[in-house]
Amino acid sequence: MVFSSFNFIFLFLPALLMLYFLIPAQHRSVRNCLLLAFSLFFYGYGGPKYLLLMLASIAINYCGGLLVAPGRKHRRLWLAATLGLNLLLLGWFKYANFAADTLNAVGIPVVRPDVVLPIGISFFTFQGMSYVLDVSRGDAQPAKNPLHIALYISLFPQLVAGPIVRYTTIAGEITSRAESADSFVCGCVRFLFGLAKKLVIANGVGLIADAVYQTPTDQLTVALAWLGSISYTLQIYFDFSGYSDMAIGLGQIFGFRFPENFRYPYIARSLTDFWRRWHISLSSWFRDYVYIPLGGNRRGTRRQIVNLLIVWFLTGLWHGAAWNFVLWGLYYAALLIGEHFLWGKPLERHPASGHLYALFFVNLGWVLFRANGACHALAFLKVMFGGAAFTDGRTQYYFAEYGCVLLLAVFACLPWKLWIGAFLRRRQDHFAARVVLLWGPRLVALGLLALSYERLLTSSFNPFIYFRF
Amino acid sequence: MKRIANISFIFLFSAFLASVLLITVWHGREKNYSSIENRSLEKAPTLTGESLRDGSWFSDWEAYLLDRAAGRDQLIRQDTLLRMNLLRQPVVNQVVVAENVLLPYYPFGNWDSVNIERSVADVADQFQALQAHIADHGGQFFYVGVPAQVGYYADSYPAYLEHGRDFFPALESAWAQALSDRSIPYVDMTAVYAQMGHPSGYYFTTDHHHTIRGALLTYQMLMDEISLRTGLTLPILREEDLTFVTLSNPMLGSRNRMLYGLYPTDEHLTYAEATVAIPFRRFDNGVEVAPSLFSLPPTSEEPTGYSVFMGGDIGETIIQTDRPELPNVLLVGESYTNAVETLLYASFNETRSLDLRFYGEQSLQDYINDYQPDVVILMRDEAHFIDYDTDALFR
Repeated sequence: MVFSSFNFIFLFLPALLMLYFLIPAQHRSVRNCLLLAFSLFFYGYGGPKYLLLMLASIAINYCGGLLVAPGRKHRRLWLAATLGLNLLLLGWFKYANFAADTLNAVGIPVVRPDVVLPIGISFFTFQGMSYVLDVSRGDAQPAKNPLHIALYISLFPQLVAGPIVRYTTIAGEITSRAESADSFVCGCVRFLFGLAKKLVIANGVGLIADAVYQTPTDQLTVALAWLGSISYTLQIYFDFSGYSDMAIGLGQIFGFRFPENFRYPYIARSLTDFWRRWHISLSSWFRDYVYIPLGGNRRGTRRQIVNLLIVWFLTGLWHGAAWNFVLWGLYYAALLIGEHFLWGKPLERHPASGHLYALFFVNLGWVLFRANGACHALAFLKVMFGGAAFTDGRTQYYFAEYGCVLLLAVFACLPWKLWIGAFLRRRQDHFAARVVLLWGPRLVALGLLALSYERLLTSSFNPFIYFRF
Repeated sequence: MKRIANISFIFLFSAFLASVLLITVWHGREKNYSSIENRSLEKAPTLTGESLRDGSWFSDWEAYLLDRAAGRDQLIRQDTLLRMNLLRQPVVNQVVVAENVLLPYYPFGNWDSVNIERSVADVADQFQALQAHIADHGGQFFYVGVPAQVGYYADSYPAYLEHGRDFFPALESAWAQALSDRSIPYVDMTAVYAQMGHPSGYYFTTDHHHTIRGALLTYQMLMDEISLRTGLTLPILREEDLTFVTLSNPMLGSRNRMLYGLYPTDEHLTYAEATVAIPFRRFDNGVEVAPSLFSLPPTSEEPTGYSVFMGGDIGETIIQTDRPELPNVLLVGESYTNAVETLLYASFNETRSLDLRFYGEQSLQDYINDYQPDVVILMRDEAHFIDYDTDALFR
């Protein structure tokens, strides 16, 4: 189930809210069981067969947590076994086809297993692994109650697209959290802003991106390729950050405080800065569980470079089982290494140039990410840099048709919320400023709900010239 | 104040969710058809083990509820208005809103100019076989090509939109040549209109069909060709034999319907009746119906459209004029034939019309075997010369 669907907004969510808040707050475990049941339904909605996989992941990590805690016998062995099982599941379901394709491509014939990728497996596997690692390090207490781990791993708001929540972040909230009218309203407002990001902006610019990326590269023009790449750059931000906003908002409604996942990444002044603002929960996961354990920057320059290459190789692979994702990861490795050792300092001195530099390379990076394979990506980039006619009617059409949503998307990348909030807070002694601070977000959120609903319905408009039975 | 703000928000948020759900469920049960979209709405899914396992049962509910969502028509209508008048988008609801005309939108890369010759040859070969089959049963075959709206108003498209500017001339020329090579009599209305400079009044601006003027010209060109080829002396309706009636009703053409009728137009529908009435009996799908050629709106306010001609698309229509001295004709085609039928019946003893999208009782060959018409006419628009399911014709 996706958040931006009729079923979720008007059936799943109201039913859960009603039942959840009917249960008295002191019956925390009953509320948790309800959340767990709805989370499992949420995951099984698209076909229940992968529920077993999730339940297996929960069982592995629950048992693993008990066995790897400090003081347990053979805990290193159990840690390796638990992590191995997690990686085995992820490897089989996400990378088996890719591995088979790669082997076949280099002349080693193997049967392609045609495994279907279960939704959210990358996210819930990483959450499970972080729990076991935290317990083994003594950073978290192993959960005695398996339902707590089940709820932690399957909690529906962050289940399919993050943010990747650490067990230490919400362990306390699972057993004791305080839902309030304030957190409910803040959560709803956050959810509705995220919903609008997805339905109004991401889906709008996504129409251009999809059309351009589906066009054979020999039919692209320079202007069209740039328009398509910029549209995708906007689409992925509003899609992903919108989803994170919805997840964080939903968590807040039920009393959970999930970590922030995005902080206006397109105002970054360098690529290092960009990665501090983009998918923060993933970056910090790799930092804490891969980069630092590998030695980080503590073992000399050469080792640091190797560590960065490993982390970015894995980051690329985590995003998708294809070589263009690996290429995308290594692309960032190269740029970040360059920034760290060569051109980072001059960029800091020229923030405007740094900003343009970051946008330019981020945009190119998304071409590698969005393309249908490495060859497509390279052909697309070739067109962007002059390997075709400059423009044709299509670019003009897309501007005429979607110009407004493109402008809106560019406008919405800026931190207006921070600017307006700071402006109003400086004038809190004025009654009007206090009213706007209090009512503004709530009213805007309700307006966005209406707008999102309208976008949801128009997406279902499907007219025919001849009657269709 | 914060408490009031929170309570107000929770009330409004909950009220919105609840009212949308209740209205959707309550009123949605009665809705099965969308007149604007011209389609049946999604049906409630049936629960099966398979649909539960593959998740389609839930996703089908999503489609069902979205089709019936509270305020759906009103919101899409407002969205259409906004996009058309405020945002001035060139394409709204798959319709190109050009100056004074509404046109079909085709996505970029829609036209395959490379394979025209091969596609034309493939389809023309099948028509040659059909012609032989008709001849075996003593009949004569005629093909009528009418322009599609995309071709008739090609010059009205914004220059940056792709609409087969190169494709259609190439197709028309290849098609005419292919039929000529196979000795299939061809009434090429695309060439006729091109010679005339695509004058106004022969094609609707807000609908994808020819007007009664266009249908009359097509009928007359066709009858002249039939007379020439068969040597028969057939009565042919000329303009002076007809009484033209223009309805005062607002015209809701197929393109404007997709825009909720929001495109301002002063277009009206005109039909033509033989001044000297020709008595006839009419059968639709085997059932005798009132002897009428036009389905007129009950009031002068009700929006009307091309379905006035013959009452819209019907699988099989038979018009018997009981004039055995005249030949029998079979007309095969889609909606373009409807307006022509209101004239064609005057020239034949019995006129049969088949719309193979709706007629599935028997194959066209079997139908010809049984009926043995003297003349068989196949009428297509240029957008479908090669791009259609020939199985429907020849199965």
